[in-house]
Amino acid sequence: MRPFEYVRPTTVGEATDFLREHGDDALVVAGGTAAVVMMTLGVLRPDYVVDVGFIPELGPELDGSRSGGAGLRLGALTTVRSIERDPAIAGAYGLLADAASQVANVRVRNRATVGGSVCYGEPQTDLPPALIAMGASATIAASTGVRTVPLAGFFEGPYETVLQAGELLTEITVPLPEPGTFGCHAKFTVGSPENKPVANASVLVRTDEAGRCVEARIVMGAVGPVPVVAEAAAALLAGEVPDAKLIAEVAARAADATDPQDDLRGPVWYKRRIAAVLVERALSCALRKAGNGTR
Amino acid sequence: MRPAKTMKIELKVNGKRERREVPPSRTLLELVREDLGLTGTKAYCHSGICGACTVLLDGAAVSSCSLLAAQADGAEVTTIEGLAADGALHPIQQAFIDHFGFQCGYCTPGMVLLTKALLDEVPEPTREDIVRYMGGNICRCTGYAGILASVEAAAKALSTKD
Ligand SMILES: Cc1cc2nc3c(=O)[nH]c(=O)nc-3n(C[C@H](O)[C@H](O)[C@H](O)COP(=O)(O)OP(=O)(O)OC[C@H]3O[C@@H](n4cnc5c(N)ncnc54)[C@H](O)[C@@H]3O)c2cc1C
Ligand code: FES
Ligand code: FES
Repeated sequence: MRPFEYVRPTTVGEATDFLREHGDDALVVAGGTAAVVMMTLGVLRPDYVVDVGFIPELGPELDGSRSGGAGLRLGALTTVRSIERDPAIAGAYGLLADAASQVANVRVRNRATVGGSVCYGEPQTDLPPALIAMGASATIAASTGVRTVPLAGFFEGPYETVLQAGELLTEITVPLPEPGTFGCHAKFTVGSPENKPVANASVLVRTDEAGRCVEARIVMGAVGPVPVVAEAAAALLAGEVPDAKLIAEVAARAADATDPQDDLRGPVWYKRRIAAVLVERALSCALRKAGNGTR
Repeated sequence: MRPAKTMKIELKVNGKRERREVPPSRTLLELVREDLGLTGTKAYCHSGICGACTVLLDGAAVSSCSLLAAQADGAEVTTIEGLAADGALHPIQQAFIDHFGFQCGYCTPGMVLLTKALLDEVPEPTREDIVRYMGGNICRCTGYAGILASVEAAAKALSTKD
């Protein structure tokens, strides 16, 4: 690994002050599961590494109330593994836990953070589709101030996000879903589980007592430069009690919204087919949960 | 807060306090193998995939290749050398021997430590729990059947022990 100088801020202010000076030559490292590997491979060759892992403000419980009325606040350092296992998340935010449980292997999940998963901007990542479906926002700090960006507008292309040099993601907030909202995440990977998926899909639905869909969100990953939000497909569900035929129609419409690329995980037509299958699976799963009333 | 070209770090490795001054680019894997001479921890993919480099960091299984030693400052690290006590193999190690849990042995330190993390978390795992958890580490020899049998036997041995 190319030598670099190391800083270990203990407050967000210290980190952003350093990044204001050196943002262009510095790499923020959180869990390190992507950043350290990229440095080992020589893909990233920073002059400075800013290890944000020792900043208590970025820790999992920012204000000690994870799931208060306003919603869920995830400090940037919250690990994928704790999202998978936290009972407070498993309830109303079950879609997030479902997506987290499908990330890579347990070693990666133990270290990878929610901040890193989002800032990395890798199109194949599992948490962004789930977070977008749930209407999450990112809080971003710089030495000049703080801004909030809806996650739906956070990604700009493969490994490109709205984050500027000098900025630090401090928190992800997820609004509390309306009662009766259920979600599932589905992915398909060729080979072993830590390989990048061909596609993934997060689906969130809310139904009324009669089983009619009041609200639906469908977001797919790995089938475009950024997560793909399938609004037209989700709109087909409005006011309907979905049967197998409608579910298949919604899935096909969602696949139309994708923009995949040919690569070693498959050609375009194949990825579209897989995306449709995954939407069908995740939607059926979410409706099944809604029917049972179990999250 | 000044950038540092070397870092003084202190961690507890297999119960023993270790203080070292390292270049910040040193990975935990390099620290363990090269500075501490604990070569039971293996290296292969250097990218978080294979699990040959698995160690326990504050009890959780992690890839030591994907972590700077400086990130582990203050933590407790367990490597495969830390399991046997007073010359007696740990029950998990014994189970891997008894149930043909390895052939070449390259993946074994990682598999044994991953088993420890699993059983500390879920003392009585189902077959499905085991497959899901252990599936993250790769073995090129055994076809995994022996490993699954070893983990099941280790779970039994540990639960009857206490
Ligand atoms: C073998 C393997 C398999 C994987 N499989 C999957 C998978 O199946 N699904 C999946 O979703 N992901 C997968 N991942 C990717 C994994 O999600 C990322 O490696 C991880 O999310 C990065 O999190 P981290 O905390 O380790 O970030 P780091 O590696 O520390 O950082 C990643 C990037 O984000 C930036 N960054 C991190 N935190 C912040 C912050 N707070 N503010 C600003 N910038 C920040 C860093 O500068 C860096 O550019 C896999 C990774 C590996 C190694
Ligand atoms: S060498 Fe670390 S995971 Fe393969
Ligand atoms: S025993 Fe040879 S790799 Fe597992």
